[in-house]
Amino acid sequence: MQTTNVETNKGNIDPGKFAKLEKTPKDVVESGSKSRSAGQEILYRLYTNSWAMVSLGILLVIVFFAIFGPSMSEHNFYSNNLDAQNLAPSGDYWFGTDSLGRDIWSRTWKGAQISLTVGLVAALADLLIGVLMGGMMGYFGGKVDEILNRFSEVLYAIPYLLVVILVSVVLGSNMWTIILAMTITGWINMSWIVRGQIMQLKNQEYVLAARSMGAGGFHIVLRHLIPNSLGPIIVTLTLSVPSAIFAEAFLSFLGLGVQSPAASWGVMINDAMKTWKYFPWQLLFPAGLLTITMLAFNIFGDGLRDAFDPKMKV
Amino acid sequence: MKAKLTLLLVLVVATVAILSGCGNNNSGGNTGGNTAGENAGEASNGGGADQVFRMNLSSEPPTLDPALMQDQVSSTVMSGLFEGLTRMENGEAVNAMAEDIQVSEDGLKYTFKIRPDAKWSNGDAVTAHDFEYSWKRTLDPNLNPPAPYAYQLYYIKNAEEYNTGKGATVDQVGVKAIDDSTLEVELKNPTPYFKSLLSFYTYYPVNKAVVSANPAWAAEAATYVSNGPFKLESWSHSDSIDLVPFENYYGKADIKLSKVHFVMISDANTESNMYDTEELDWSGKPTGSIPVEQLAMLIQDKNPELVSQPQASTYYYNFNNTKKPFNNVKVRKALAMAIDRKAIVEKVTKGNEIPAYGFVPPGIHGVNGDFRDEVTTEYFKEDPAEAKKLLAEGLAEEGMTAMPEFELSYNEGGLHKPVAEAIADMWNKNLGITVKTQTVEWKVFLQNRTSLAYDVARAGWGADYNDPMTYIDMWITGGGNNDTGFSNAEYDKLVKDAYATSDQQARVDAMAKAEQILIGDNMAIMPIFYSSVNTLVKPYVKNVTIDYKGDIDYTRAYIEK
Amino acid sequence: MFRYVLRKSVNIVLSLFVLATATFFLMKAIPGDPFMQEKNVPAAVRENLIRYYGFDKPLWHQYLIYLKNLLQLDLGMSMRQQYQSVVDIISRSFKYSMQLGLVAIVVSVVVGIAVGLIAALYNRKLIDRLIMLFATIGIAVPNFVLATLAQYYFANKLRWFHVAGLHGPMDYVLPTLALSVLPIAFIARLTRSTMIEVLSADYIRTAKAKGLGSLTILIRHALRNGLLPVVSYVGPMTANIITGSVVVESIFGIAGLGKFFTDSVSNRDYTLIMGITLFYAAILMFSRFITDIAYALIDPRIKISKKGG
Repeated sequence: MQTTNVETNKGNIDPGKFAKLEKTPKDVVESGSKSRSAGQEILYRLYTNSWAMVSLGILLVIVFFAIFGPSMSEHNFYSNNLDAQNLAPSGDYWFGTDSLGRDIWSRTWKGAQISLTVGLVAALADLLIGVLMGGMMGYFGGKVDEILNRFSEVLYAIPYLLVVILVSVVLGSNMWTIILAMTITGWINMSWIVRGQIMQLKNQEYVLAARSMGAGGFHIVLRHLIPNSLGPIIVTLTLSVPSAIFAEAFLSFLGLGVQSPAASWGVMINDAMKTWKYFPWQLLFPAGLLTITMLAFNIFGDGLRDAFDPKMKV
Repeated sequence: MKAKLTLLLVLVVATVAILSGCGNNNSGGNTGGNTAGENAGEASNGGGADQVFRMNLSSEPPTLDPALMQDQVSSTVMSGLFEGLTRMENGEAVNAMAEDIQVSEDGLKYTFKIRPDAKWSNGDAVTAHDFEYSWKRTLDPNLNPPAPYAYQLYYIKNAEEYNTGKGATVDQVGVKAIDDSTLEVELKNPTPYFKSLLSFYTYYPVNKAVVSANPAWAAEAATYVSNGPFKLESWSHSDSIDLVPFENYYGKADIKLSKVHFVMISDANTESNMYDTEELDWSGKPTGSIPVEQLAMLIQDKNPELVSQPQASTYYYNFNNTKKPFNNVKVRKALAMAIDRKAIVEKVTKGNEIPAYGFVPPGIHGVNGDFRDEVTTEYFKEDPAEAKKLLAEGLAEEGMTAMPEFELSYNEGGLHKPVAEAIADMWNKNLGITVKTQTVEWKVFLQNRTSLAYDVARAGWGADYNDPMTYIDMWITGGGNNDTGFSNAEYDKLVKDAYATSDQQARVDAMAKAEQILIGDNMAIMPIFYSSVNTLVKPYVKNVTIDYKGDIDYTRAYIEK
Repeated sequence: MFRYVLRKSVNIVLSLFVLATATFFLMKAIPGDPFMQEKNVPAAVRENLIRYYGFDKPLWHQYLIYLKNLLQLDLGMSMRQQYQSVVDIISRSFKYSMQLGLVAIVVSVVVGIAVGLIAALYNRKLIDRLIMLFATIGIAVPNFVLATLAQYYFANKLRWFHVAGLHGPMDYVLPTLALSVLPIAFIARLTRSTMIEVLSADYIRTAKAKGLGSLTILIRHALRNGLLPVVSYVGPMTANIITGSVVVESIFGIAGLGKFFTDSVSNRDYTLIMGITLFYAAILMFSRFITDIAYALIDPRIKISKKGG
């Protein structure tokens, strides 16, 4: 970035504005000349991005605890202990206990299992459907765009509560119906953002060039348009994860979320809102972990985007 | 670098300018016509002498028309606006719109003299014709829309037959205005608690001239006509309601408040913050709520602003008596005996509730005193070991080797979830069975319960009137609220016997026997606890009372700062 | 252009019709009805009510009656709020939601874009990292937590604001905060992400090489092209925010449309569910229509009124 920081509208050149390059042009050329496949190149870029690597580390630690955390404590996540209600964190209960005397440590990690699964699977489903639909709307335009657009709008406007109630009555409540209920409308936001991006990108020169060279529609969408829309896609994706986690808590009010004694972060945060004034740790642990997870996801997502985008220079 | 900083500055300034700009626009757009804001201002500026009482309704009352009412929010507002032939004072029905009540020897015929100084808020006199018109209007099967609580009038002769369109015309209904001041009422059965029923909102009069001219009279404050101690000053829908004293109320000397201000805040934390910041004088039941953990703290700290009293309402679980293995009485008894009710009220609900081992709650009249004091509560004892034995026997009788995993369903809200979680855990620990607790959307829950599509379901029942019958007659075979499939011929006969007599001792005996059949013999349902009313009241609020069933009376309240 | 608008309007009306049909049958398919309460009403009284509302008629008949009323622009009376028409309820509550929503939208867009832009200009510097940290917290902390905490500290403890209500300009601060934190965070991230790409694009370099000032480049070239994803998001966001948020309205005691909508579903207030759904859909479709026009204005190469391909 330093080299682009030249202010050309000033006549006299200030030597202070120039910094010595950390890598000589020769280094850059040499590093580029080591022939690497596209995949290796992406991994290399990711690997050299220390923020992304730290985030990945945090995510791995959270996944580790989500798997092994519940069994580390001698208290399980579901058993009530009415004589140990609302205890503050201690050597016995590492994260304290909730209003029925259940161990928050076990519940938090058990909740991580559920919330991360729900959040990631729902976000991935949103990503696949949303990018596909948005890509079609944006690229083909015209009638395809009009029909898909109207379809997505009608779906978006149908009272979501009614859909959820219907799903819970017809299909019952389990992990997959929860994700189904979220995906029914979850992809729409993504599709609209992708549509807007692609409507703009498809008129750019390189797309015209690709088309004039005989590239097919899907090739152009997959190889040119979507990679160049990755920024907004990743940002939208990182919004999908926490919204799915909280949607799950909301669904559980309607009988479609995870039911007790199982816990999820969303439900734990909801319950903690009734007690946070007195027992703040009941809110702090699930909400804090959710925030840290999201932060790590975001930074890692940014790193991923940069790694995929050949224009970006790390 | 400098250019970037300049740009940053420009952006920040622009943002601030736009933000403050839109702030100004808003202040211009919103200063006019906000009565509630002005009221709040008045209340806090005025100081000690202000006779304003402010409480939370939580939601917009669905209606303020006596014929269409069926909920506590509406009745809380209406108890200030309307008055029936009697009103309740310290648990006793005293004459209100009626100045004299004569009852025939057989208890079937009532003659009322309407007090001559009773007035409507539009200046008309309240007459016997208004009562006749109001009750018959409520019973009209083609009312626009029909009255959901019409059945509260079924004590009157031919009322049910007229309302259900089965064999009686409107003229045969047993209520008749002999002249402007005399009302005659004939009953179907002798009903010892009829005088207190008359204070209930379905028995309120409406102004015949006003209502027959404008069917939607109760939609807005402008067209609203009432006869109680207060009148409707303003109704800002879904936001606030203001009542002011009615200048021609016959007992206006007793009315000290200059205003009753109702807000409609659905969030319990918000209500609690408003109480803390003195924007409310009352928090909690009947129409508000206190966050659970806060309540526990208040009780533990013996906070002087907290008022706690029992409420005639029972919290219990329905067993689906028609579904295996819950059709087996030993299984039902095992489940009922395997939980620790004391732990539930002390450690889970934490609001001074009372463990329930019967169905009729304390606070309901028996022969001379409280039914619950006069009738045994020893229908069963908690005993996990015995319960485990009973469960095994019951399952064997049903040809099962182990208790199948079943579902305990409840709706979102209140303490339903923690209570269900605690009970499921007790069953798991004491009986070694697996129970799935399941939240169900409110109306789906009601539908499932009514159509017996459940295993075990949460339920609650509050009194309609102060007599054990309000808890007993619901369990007759095919009863409209019998959501368990329980059916017992002897029980049905006992209820019929109690209906037929006006001898209170005989009635109470029959109902006690019925309760023994319901709980002691069959455990058709599992009682958990009798509810309580917990409220936070500012110390300067005097003479607001809560009755046995948890209804509030603020009409005679005053403020003393 | 006129034909384009006309064609779009016809399509929107057709979509509303499809939506009304879908919602009607969905509503009837789920269990429960408006008359169910904790205490059941006797069967005969229930029959009176069912007859009065015409629920005893076959479903297709009810649907035809509903369509007929809809064509006459009659949304009917609420089944829960007695004597209140659906139109009255919507217009009354929309007023509150819209007043608050417009403030929140302006704040979200202005702050979101400004903050995102700053982050993009200082890409990977400390200020960028800090902004993204807050933006992530804004996305990860749900508004009911934020609203509850803000209300407790600023209104109850510090007494800077009223706890609830929307009676003066100061009362807008906390609800606006609760409504805009997520959109601000999202718009900021979106803006940053696209602006970083746009700023490194060839034409920006060209513009710089031509000697244009940074501010001119930023506003004339970069912002223009970088805003498209934000515009895509702002369309539906506008529809969502001005029709009210049930969380914010419940916590701050605002008699807005969002709360009515949720309540109407749990009460099975059929007429009100339908009325609010159609009203919301009309706003949504209109705002996305405006979005499409905004695309063409921002980037003249995007042709909306011609068939693409």
